[in-house]
Amino acid sequence: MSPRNGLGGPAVRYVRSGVLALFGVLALASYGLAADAGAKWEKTLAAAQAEGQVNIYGGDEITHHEILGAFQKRYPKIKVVSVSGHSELIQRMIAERRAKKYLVDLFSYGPNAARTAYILDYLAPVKPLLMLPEVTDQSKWYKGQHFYRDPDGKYIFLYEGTPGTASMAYNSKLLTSLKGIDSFWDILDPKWKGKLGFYSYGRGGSVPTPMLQLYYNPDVGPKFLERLFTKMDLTISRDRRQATNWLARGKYPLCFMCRDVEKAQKQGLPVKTYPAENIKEAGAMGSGNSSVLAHLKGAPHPNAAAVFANWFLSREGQSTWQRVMNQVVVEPSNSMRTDISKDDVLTDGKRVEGKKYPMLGFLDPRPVSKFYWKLVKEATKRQKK
Amino acid sequence: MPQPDSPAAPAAPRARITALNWGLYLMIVLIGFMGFYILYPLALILINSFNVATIGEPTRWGFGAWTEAFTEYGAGEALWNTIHLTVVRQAIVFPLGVFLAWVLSRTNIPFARGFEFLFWISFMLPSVASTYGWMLLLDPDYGLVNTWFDNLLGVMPFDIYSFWGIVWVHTVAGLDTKVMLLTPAFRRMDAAMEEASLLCGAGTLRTMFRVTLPVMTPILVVVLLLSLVRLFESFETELLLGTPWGFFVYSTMIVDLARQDPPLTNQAAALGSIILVFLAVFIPLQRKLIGARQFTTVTSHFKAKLIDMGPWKYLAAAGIGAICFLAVGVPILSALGGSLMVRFGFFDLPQTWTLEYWRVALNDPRLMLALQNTLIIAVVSAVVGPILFSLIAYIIVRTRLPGRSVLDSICWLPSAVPGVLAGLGLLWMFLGTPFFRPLYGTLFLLIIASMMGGITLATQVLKANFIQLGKELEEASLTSGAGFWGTYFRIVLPLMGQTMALIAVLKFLFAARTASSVILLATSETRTLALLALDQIAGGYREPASITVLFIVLLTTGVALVARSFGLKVGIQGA
Repeated sequence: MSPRNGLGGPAVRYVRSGVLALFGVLALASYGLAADAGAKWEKTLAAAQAEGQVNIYGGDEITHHEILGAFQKRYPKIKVVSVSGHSELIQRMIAERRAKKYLVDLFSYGPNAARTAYILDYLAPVKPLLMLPEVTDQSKWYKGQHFYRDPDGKYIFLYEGTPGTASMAYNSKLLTSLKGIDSFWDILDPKWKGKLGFYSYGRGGSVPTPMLQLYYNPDVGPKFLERLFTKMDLTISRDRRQATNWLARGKYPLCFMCRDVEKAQKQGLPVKTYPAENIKEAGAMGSGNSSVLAHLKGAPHPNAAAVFANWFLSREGQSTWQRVMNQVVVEPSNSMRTDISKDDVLTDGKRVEGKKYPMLGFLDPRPVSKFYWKLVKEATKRQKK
Repeated sequence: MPQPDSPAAPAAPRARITALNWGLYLMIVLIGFMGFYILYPLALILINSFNVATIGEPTRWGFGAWTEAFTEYGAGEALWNTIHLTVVRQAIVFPLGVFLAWVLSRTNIPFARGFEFLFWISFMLPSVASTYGWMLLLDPDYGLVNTWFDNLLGVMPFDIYSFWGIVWVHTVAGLDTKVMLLTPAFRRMDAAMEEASLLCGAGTLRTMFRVTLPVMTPILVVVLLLSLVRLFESFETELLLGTPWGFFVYSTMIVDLARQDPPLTNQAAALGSIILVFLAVFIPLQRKLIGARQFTTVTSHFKAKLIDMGPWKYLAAAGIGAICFLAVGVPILSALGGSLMVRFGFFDLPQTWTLEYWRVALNDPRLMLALQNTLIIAVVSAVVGPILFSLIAYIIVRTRLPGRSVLDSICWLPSAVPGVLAGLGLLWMFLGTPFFRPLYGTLFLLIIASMMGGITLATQVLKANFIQLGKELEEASLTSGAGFWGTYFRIVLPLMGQTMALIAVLKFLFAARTASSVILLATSETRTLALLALDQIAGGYREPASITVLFIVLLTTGVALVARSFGLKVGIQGA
């Protein structure tokens, strides 16, 4: 085709010029935006330093001293006051707010407590806090987007993307492998009767997250749980260490829900976890096992909260969080950020490249609670000698 | 000023009226203060037990939480288990504790002071360390003692996961309180009465049963009731040893409900309120038991003398030494083992021992701040507590001011309420009171909350000791014109030196290790060692947490040593 005909000649030049002009405008605009964002960040940082403090409530996922220490090192002029705890934190926040004490800037825990805070209308949107480009750039996050766990899609920020685990571990001296267990239903085979341990964890009386997921999983559901607890003669422990020790001692060769198995294995105990990818029903994401970040209405240090939230969700913050949770707390934990190394993530927390994980919505623990604890209690009574 | 109940100094009517007025004012202040401090949080708990709204809903009143707690969570069975366990435990521990205290204080057994101090140490050790130690020794499949038996005789006779396993752990760990409280009281008993009994031909044991024990009724009743009233407190041992075979107790259930997600606070409050009903029966009973008789054992003619046990004293010393080893050695070795072994209880790992956990614990940046906070809270408790509670006990025992029974009853309440509910009640109280609200988040409120620990123990032990103390020394002081406060500070308190030292140590200990009642009030700035240990456990640092607990034990042991040497220099000297 001749350049003089058709789209050649002046038309091409016009188009080229137009495209170049557009690029120029876009470049200028993005430079301007970046400059704006930079200026906004600097302004926020200065205001945060003037506030001098940020108050954070939550579990280890945000109040662990190594995480706070890393933030403190980066921003020494902003003092972190933390209140660590679990389900009792929501009680505390309710009591404080009823007394008109608005003390909390940021809150991070599993989504249940955050959901209660959402229902109580305690939360402010997280999105306006996010301003660092590496945080706002959604292409750096799982599935190229930010996930929120509330119906409005702006209050409860999901930063953890750990796939649901198989929750199974075995004694590697007694069992060389668990071949043949491809589904949760397979452990209901009579050959496992009397050979299953069960760690009934849950902080206090709350429902353990994997139980919640199994209950709501249409392929597993309450029927599975009922048969597990009524037919399999489980040996139940409610102490985290005791359950794993019993597995290592061979009191039972297979344990459902045993915790700290990777830590015990590191210490030299003959225990191994069973990978989630071997179980077809395992692997959903985004439910109770996933930590979330929330910002509180009336936060006393809004700028410091913004600085902390941006740092925490940055590459540095999420790398620190991921390392601490997997290597120190020894809980499989995987950040929703995709641009950080996953080498320190424990086996059970790793996402398989290319695999599509269903994203679960909020799983209401209330209907499960009574059902679950009744089963646990009755099974515990049955194991009386 | 309130005058002790003394007929010695006839006063002019105007002076008597003034004294009564002052006494009334003091009583009103004390009842107001203690009532607000103790009754208000409990009332909030009781009120909330009738709130049937779920968390976040507007308040609705009803009995739903009560019926739900009892029909759906099996509280009746848990209550029965708790009572059954307590009765069996006390049937064993109480007589044994009385006997040990008598031997240590009234006989010439060698190393008596050393043994007594070992029981103090035992009291300071956390029950969970003791439980873990016994699990290692008496696990039915892998326990070290069972394994030795298996190697020797081919049988594994012990099972720690049983009713009797729980009783055993509580027996070994529960003797300390009895010995601690009873030994000073036995020591203050005038030997003249025992001598008279012996002169009349009664043997040593008959003298103990017919003279010593009846005279010691107030303190014996108090110690027994203190043990009974704390039946709702015990938690970790039952959780670790009872759950594997389906044995639940009341405290486990309350904690489970309070920590649901979202928390079932109202149901937990309903269960907690049952304890108040129990106390409504219990408190008048104890007043009736010790209120009517004369139990003075210390007078101006006090005489201390020990009974000679002859060669039996060596056998007794060996027996008590063995008990001390079980009570102190097992938990200390367990805690130390937990901090020095790669995995506690596993001796067959590629690497068994490590110093890594100590390195982590000592490098924890939070340790020094927690230590500092703990020291501030515990020292204030140890200084203010004995003075305040001795004043309360003195007024209850020595005066006839109206309201004494109310004050006494209030002092019984805190011991029966599980820490997790007490913590919630305190949170509601502090945030609901304009005076305290600005102080929320400061160490000051933690000090006030920590003072609640051991109130019952402190006041009742002091009361029992005041009952033992003859009045003539005070009467002499008053007749000489010393006045109420002069007599109280210059005569009464020095005579009570050992008991005051004991109470100071107890207050220090309670304040240093209290966690559940202050957890909702603390922040990272006001965290104590006990709270740090909880955070460490939650954060995956279980072994460093046991080191933090060892710090608390070392701290309290140091204070106990100082207090003991001080207490031995003042007060009544044994022979």
